[in-house]
Amino acid sequence: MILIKKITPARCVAWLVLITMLVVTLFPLLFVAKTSFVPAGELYTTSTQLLPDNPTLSNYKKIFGLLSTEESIAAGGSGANINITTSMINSVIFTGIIVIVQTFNCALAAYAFARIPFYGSKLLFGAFVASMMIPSVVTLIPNFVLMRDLGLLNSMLGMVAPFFLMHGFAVFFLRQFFISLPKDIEEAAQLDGANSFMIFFKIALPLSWAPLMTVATLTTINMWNEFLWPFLIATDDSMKTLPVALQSFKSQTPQGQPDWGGLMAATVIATIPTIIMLFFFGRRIVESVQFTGGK
Amino acid sequence: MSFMSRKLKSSLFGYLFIFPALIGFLLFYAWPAGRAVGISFTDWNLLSEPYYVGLDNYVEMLEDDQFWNGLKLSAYYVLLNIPLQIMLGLFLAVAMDRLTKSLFVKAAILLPYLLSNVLVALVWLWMLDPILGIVNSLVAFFGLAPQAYLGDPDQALVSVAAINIWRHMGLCAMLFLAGLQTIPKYLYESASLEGVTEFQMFRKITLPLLRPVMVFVLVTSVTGSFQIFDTIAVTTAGGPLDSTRVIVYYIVQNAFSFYKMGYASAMSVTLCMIMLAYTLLQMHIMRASESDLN
Amino acid sequence: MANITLKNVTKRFDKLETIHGVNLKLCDGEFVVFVGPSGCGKSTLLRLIAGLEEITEGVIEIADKNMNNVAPANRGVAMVFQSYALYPHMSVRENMSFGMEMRGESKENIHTRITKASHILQLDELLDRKPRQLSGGQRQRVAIGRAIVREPDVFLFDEPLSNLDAELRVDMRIQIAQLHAKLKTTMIYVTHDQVEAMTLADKIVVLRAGHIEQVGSPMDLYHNPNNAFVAGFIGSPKMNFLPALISDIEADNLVMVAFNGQKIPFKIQSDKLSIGDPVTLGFRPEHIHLAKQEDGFHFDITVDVAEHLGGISYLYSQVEDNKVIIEISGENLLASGDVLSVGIKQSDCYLFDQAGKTLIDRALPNR
Repeated sequence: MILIKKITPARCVAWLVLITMLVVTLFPLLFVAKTSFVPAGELYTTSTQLLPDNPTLSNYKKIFGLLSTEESIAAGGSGANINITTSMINSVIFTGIIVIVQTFNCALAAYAFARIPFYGSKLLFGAFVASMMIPSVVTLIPNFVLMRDLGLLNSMLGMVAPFFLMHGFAVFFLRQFFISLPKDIEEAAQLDGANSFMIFFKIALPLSWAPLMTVATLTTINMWNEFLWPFLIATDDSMKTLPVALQSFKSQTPQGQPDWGGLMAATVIATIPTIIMLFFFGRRIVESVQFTGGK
Repeated sequence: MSFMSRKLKSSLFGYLFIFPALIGFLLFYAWPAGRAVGISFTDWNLLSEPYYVGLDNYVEMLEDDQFWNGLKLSAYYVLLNIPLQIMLGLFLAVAMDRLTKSLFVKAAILLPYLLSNVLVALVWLWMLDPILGIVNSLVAFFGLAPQAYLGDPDQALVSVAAINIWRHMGLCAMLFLAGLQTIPKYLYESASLEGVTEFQMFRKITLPLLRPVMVFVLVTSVTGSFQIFDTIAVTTAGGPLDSTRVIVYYIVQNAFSFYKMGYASAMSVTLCMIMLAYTLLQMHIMRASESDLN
Repeated sequence: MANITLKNVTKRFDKLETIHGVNLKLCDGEFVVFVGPSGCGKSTLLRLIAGLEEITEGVIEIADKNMNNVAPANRGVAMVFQSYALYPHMSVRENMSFGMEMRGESKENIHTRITKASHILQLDELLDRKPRQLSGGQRQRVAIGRAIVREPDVFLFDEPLSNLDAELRVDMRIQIAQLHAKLKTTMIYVTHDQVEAMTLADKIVVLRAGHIEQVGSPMDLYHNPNNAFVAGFIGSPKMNFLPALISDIEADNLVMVAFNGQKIPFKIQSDKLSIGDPVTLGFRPEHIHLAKQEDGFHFDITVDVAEHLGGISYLYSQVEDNKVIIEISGENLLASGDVLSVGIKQSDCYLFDQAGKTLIDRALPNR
């Protein structure tokens, strides 16, 4: 039923609402971007303008530590510090380790649950899936105590520990995929003399790029944005990830107004990696996110 | 005998495969979950030895107004957040399904969800700033009185809900859109041949067939929102006047500001039970796992 | 030498028994076809021999060695799957070399074998392609090539032609027959298509519901089926079955069979029948003549549908309430509604008791 798309009142309304939603979604980000270029003294006078009168990079210089403390305070800084380069690097390492190791571990486990008959497999798989239901606040305290006892506070290992070994959703998702792989390809490999590890590495993994990337994409999003755990573990500035650094930058101004210019510049910098990811992997990200609901 | 030996051999392989994940599960899920229950029976400030107090923490909890207030605020937050978020998401999804397949539109709609809670909170902290924020400028433009938003005890939780609706409605829309695209087009074609109106189609075809996605969205977003923490930690820190001290914020505060590990654990175990009960109930009511398609 | 012996082989999946104590002996170099309707256990039996499934009871011996606890890769078997099961991410060459690499064969050896196999199967031009770039027939040849380079003692084919179109199927069938003639290796071939079974096999194993119904050469099964099931399964179109009666019993197991008011004597192998017992009269469509035969039954049929294929015609007809298919060679103008008088020779008749067991021993014709 191919109809020429008629311009009906309903369609007009729908377009209008869709565009409104787009504006509502994007406008705050553009407004933040504008603010980041506004000199400290002009925040009030330009608060309703869409473009700054005298654009400046001083906010960016400030957050990258290119200004001395005096200059920084003169430029409207609160004297608070954010080492955005360090926290950016921390975020990349934190996310990178978790995405790579967790995806690999989960693929291994998911393959075993899908294809290798072993004692207790059903029970353990059920337990893995059930682990998704435990609110993170429940395991938070014991995990924190464990990290403290192991002396892993303020360490990268302590930050990645609860995440990088296993994730219930990833195991569940990948198992569903491995089950759907044609079994006779693996049987052919078995007859060809490959053991389970070889079948996994030489046959199953190379055929699983798409779902592995989906899992990796979702984990990247979640870990890049993870706040509470790194917030508890990384109290030292040198270990803070981006969300933690931003939060502490914001709350370092106990009296009066925060350093809006600096904060907004930091916000923009923190947004850029997401936008770049979205630019290059937009389709994969959208589809990965949609996958989570489809089971 | 031969059966045993082969199953044993494949079991060996099985456990080698799941070994890292199993360690992760035992060390960071199973054991801590059990330990949380254990800690909840103690009085423990992290420095001294834990001291067994039996059910005291639970008794204290039931008599603690702040605990009940936290639960109430979390539930209130869910009620503010979820219906609007789902409605807007559904509306967006239907509009996008009809109007455009543009990846740009999808990506733009999804963008807020891809930003961290902390970032989103900062963005809106600025937008909602009573003096410098653009929102109050717009309010003034329409001749209304400026508001304090996150600074007003009556408005803070609503503002936090609004912020998270903004962040999550794109996600909802994407999930619903994926669900919509699994509904075969011929259903609508045969319905339109029978003279069914668009609105009836939505009610009689779209909504019933979206049920599995709806259950997923409901369960994950309700349990997720009930555990709201990040946004509040950045924007209001539980204030003003405890008006946003939701349950998880109260738990974290007890644990890591007051160092009342036992009490915090008791509350978190209780929270876990509530979430579990809700999930099971919801799945039961909505017949979650069944789809009417295929 | 790769004899294969199955002794009391039984397979249970959980509680469900699908193979019931099968005994079978296959000789070296034989082309054996397992045939039967879907669900009869033929594929399961093949997978038990391959070691892809584990037997619940019994013994499988290949080349006189007990294989029960030998891994599939070490049984000296190679398998061609129905879906081909090519590794999608590997080129044709990599598909063929994978098994040899797993076994640690030398590079030169791998190269020689691939060259040889690809020559036999005309795959030389395709070695660097990926499976998705190949046609169905080419994929099939690669799957066979992958089995050949293994130089196995036994080839196992699991319905290898069922995904091909009719023309290609005939083509590949001939290629497989030629391959067997050339390699002289034991081959076990599973199919539900009796034409493939008849044309390829040295020995056919007919299976039904996890039991062996009969083992024998194609002509053996055609002329001397043990029972009505095998009789109906072997031969195309299917054998016709009509109800008849024992009307008299004479000495030496000689009985009179009554059908359509006629009585004809048959020498049977059973002495358990009595007068009035119902029996089933079987005859093949190709054995029906358009004229009354001396020493045989004759009756009238009504044509329902006539299919004219040129050199041959099939008449789907009725005798009272029973359906009968008749094959006629040569052109004719018969059409729906025609009533014909037809006859069958006594020697072309098959006779089965109520349980379907054959009653007569039909000698193979001497031609």
